[in-house]
Amino acid sequence: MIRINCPYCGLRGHDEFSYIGDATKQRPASPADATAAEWHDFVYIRDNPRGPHQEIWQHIQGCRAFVRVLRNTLTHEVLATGLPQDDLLAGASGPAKTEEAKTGEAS
Amino acid sequence: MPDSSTEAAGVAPLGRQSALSGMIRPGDHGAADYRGPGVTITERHPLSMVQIEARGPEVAVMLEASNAVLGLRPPQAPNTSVGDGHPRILWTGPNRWLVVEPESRDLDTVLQDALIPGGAAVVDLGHGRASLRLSGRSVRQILMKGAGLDWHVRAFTPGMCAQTTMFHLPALIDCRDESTFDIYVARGFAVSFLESVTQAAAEYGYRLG
Amino acid sequence: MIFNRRFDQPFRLAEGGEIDRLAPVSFRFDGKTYQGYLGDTLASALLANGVRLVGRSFKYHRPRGIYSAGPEEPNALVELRTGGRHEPNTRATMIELFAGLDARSQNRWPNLLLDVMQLNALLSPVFVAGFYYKTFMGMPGWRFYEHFIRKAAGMGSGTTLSDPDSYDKMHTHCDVLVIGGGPAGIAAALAAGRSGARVMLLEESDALGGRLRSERRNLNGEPAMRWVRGAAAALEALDTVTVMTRTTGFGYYDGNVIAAVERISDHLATPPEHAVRQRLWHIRAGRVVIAAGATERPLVFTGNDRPGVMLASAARTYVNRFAVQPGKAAVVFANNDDCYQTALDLHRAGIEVQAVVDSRPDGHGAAKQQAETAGIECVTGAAVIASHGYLGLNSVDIAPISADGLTVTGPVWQLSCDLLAISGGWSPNVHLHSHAGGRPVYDPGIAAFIPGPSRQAERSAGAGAGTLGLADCLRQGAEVGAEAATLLGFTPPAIEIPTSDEPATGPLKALWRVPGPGKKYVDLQDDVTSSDVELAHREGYISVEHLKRYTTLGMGTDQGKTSNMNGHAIMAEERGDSIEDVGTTMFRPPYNPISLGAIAGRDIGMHFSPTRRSAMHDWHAENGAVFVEAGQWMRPQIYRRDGESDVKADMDRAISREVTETRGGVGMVDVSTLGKIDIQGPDSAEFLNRLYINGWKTLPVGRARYGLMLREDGIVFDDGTTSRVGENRYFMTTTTANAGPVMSHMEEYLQVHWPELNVKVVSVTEQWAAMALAGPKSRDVLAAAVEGLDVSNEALPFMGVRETRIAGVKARVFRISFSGELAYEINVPADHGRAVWERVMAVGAEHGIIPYGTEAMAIMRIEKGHVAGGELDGRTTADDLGLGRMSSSKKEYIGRRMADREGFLDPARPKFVGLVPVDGKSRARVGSVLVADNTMQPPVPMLGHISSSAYLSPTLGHPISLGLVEGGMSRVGETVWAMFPLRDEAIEVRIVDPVFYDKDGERLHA
Ligand SMILES: [Zn+2]
Repeated sequence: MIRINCPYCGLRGHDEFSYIGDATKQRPASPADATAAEWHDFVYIRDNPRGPHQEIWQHIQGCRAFVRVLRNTLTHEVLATGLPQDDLLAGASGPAKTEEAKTGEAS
Repeated sequence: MPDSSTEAAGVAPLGRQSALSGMIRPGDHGAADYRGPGVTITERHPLSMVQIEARGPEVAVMLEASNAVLGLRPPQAPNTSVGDGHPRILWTGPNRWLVVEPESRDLDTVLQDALIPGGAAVVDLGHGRASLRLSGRSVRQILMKGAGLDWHVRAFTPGMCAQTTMFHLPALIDCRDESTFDIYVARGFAVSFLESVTQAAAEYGYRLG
Repeated sequence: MIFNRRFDQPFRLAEGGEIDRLAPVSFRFDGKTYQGYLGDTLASALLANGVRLVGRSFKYHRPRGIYSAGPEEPNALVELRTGGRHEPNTRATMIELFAGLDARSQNRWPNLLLDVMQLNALLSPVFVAGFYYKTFMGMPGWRFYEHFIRKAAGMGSGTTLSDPDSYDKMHTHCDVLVIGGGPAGIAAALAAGRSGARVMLLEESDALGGRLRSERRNLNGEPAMRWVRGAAAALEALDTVTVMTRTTGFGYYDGNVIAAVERISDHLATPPEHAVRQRLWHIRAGRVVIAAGATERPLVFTGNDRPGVMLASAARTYVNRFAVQPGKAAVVFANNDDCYQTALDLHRAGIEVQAVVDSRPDGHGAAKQQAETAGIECVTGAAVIASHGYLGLNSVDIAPISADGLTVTGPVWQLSCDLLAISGGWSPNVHLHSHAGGRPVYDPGIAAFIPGPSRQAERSAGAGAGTLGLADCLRQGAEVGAEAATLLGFTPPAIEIPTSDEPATGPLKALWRVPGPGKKYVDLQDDVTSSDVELAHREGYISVEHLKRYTTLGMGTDQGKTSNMNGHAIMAEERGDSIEDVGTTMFRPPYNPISLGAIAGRDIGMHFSPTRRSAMHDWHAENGAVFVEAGQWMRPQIYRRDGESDVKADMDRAISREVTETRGGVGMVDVSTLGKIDIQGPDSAEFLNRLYINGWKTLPVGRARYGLMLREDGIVFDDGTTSRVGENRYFMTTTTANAGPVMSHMEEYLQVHWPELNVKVVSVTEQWAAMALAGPKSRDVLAAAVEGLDVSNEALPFMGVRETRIAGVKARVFRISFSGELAYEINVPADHGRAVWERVMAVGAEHGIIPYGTEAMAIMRIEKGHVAGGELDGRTTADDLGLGRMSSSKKEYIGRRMADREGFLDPARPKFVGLVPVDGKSRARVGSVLVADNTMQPPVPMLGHISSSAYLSPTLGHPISLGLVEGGMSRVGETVWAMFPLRDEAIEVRIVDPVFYDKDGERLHA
């Protein structure tokens, strides 16, 4: 079972989390001004990348925080996690950064 | 030290009926061990439980106001808990805590009066959750059966709490001392949870009371 | 007595072994009683009693004997225990003997000695690989033949009784997990354990030692088991180390999670009271040391499956560990130096060793000299090319072979023997490494696959890594254990490695197929022969994965432990490719068969999933409720009265009664399961405005409003009422089914999309017990129940919300209605739910109040034309449901910009309507498809479907339905057909207004 590093609770089994969706899609900030194509893109268009991908998960059985997760879709390896607004690929060169658990499980 | 004697002896001023009323058959059950039961299972009832939550600049105000009214500051570190039980404050989420004490006053109103002016949200959850205290030498085995966190004495120490799934249902688990844990589950799951705990405890022997 | 017992076990040695001679144990096999000792396995006890024939083979029903002494056993599969504990296909080599053990051979009829199915063997030329599929599949008679084929080629049979034992699960974490308690594993656990790391050591058998239990080896000049016992005590003394015996690590999963099964009570006749039979462990490890050992390979020659043919390592195990002679006269046949040690051990146990046959042109090593010194004839450059005997071995044919092993080069001679110990070399158990994503690589030095680069935090040590010498195993175990601890930040001290007395050995020489005609078994469990592999090659199934499926090689319960390497090597020879290029199949969990009981654990029956009860649950149960599961909630479906049972007629009568008495008087239903969400903060109204399609900014304190939520794609998500209970505080209700999803949806928008909104939300579903009081007399009942609240129509109008007290308890009263009647919802803190419910029932008695269940509730909402789960099916828009007029065009809300897409505005979209049967009595089922005419031929254009159905509206006296149909309300009065082809139903229905009852809402506003 893969584990996800909740920014608050530390490493927890993925069964405590609920997958929410693709984090690379930004909801139109001004809904009335967004075009139909932009809405279509936000609601329906999803890449299916092979490799690192940013996703939103909710720590639904834990602290209920939403977590941004950089996951390798090929290996299921969780490369990095952060708050929903963080961009986990920004400035990342070489191996992706991994956050240490702030508290929670010690091992 | 946990305060089982005082909590267990609490009298229900409003005649609250526990979700487990009629379900706890006092006495020793399961395997007999010369050392006595491996775990003692006690219902904690009636409890006052109030959730407090704030955002941004409200947080500092709320922490101060909590300290003033409760004599206890909510812990900043995630998944930690403080207090001797009168009250106990458990971190349950970002800027969110659960204040718990044996019912003796209208805690919801006390906290509303103290915290709402500072912008905090105060919600009474006292009837929404049931709580069991598990204690004894086999208590960590019961946790290992139900939940996937690391329950080793080195890893989960007094003053730590965690929300996870235990026996397939959401639970808040608070370590009171090395062999005593307070567990909170949604009221509706209380009977199911008690059955799972007692099944799991049978091989060690358990005392209900 | 002692002497009698000795004679009862004619093949038992007078001394030695790990058995407890003071603890004789009697057991039954195929109905006959035998005696063994505590410490025996069923296999060793059978051999001690001279039982050599233990089963029949899977396909050809060949007589088979005990072949191994471990988990790789392909032959000795038996049915164990009786009744609910009956278990088929258990390996006699793995069953610890207990008093009263009852086992039966399987796959024979009428009995083991006389098996008529052995005819299959005479027909074996036609039963080649792929035979069944080629011959029977697709033929008209397949179903007829299948029955006989399954009967003829079968395994043990299961039981239909329920298992009386309890199974359990546990989760644990450790720093270093060591799998395998042989010399390498012990050394690894000691090295890691002394660093202070949390270490777990899993051992499949009942004690530590691994091969050392079966070999006559010295460590530090003393019997090796003395060192093992000392090491076990040292591990015991470390409080960070946990040693678990009778525990098999059987699967390696993502995230360094290992699944293991602990057989707590399998070695007992029945588990003690309250004890668990088996426990499934879920172990999360920082690092894993795989010290899983190696499995000896058979040699592939004609008649290599006859009872009496046995792996050489097993023969040593039986004489050394169990003090049992697996035969009286032995031949040893090998392609490596193990044959000489085997011969010496057998000789020492009083077995007459007729010859050692070494297929290599030259023998090697000190052991050979010792064997020759002991007077044992050693033949090199030769092979056993055939075996003879009816139900067991009585002689073998031996012949010289060429150096390349492909041809017989000289005359054949015969030796009498009842035991043939064979060794084709050792294959490391790379299974767990393979589960973890590793790709084993071929090591020509030992002619076997060894672990390749690791994909997870694991490393193999000892024989499992291809390290076959004892001293090397110990050294490597300690090194890998220390490395694991170091990588996790611990500082392991150096540990002392004991010195070993093992003789130097020379290299083996691979011999994959012995020359000669006849059946040579590669996979004994599946009856796959070398000629099946050759046939697969001829027919083009040359990849190992195709070979496996075509011949069933390695597909038995042993997963090819003894057969894969030989089978793949033979394929490589046929292809003319290297073994490395041909490769090996992927291993998948479980390494060994795992009982379904252990996998299910305690999640069975009512505990398959936890259940939720409302605060009034016990009252319902005491008052005749029949419960139905709604999600995890247990809800009263109906309330039975005296004399009613759960037959359909009684159920229907109860449902009608509950509807009629509520509409005619007053009824109360438990609605505690509705989702309830507390919303606080200065931006709450703005948040609600964005969540719901209708407006919220004008809702005054003390009022409720019905709201509809969409998803981002414009489809309806959920509905419910939300009340303003304070200046900046709201109380939302959701449907029961969407309580969780709506909560999560709201949190998502607050945390991810609109963090600028200052709103706090929390689920209070469980905080409040909720009951809906409905019916024309509900106001009278409420008035009698509340304390100091004016409940008149003026003081508490429709959609009004008030705080009050009932039975001394703080309560919230909402004047809202799902039933279409004058109705109120009462919420009280859950611990008071039952008291308040009882109070309302008591004051309602004089008004004839009844409790009603979910069936009556559903019928009343259909009569009223309210949408619910059937309509909110993830496909409907607000317009489709006739709720589009609720939408506020003055604000943005979730889903608004997708809701007015062209496709959603298409007038042809099916729209919400009511439907009644034209004949006034036929019941149209939910899911029925609406079409224009029942006589049309396919493809028939679909006009819509039925979404909800009341099989009888007690109010109207006939069935009614809700549905969606093209044209919607513009077709009122037309008839269409409701078709349900699965049940061959076609019902003509008339389209009507979906509000069947009180269209003007006079009742709920009364
Ligand atoms: Zn968390």
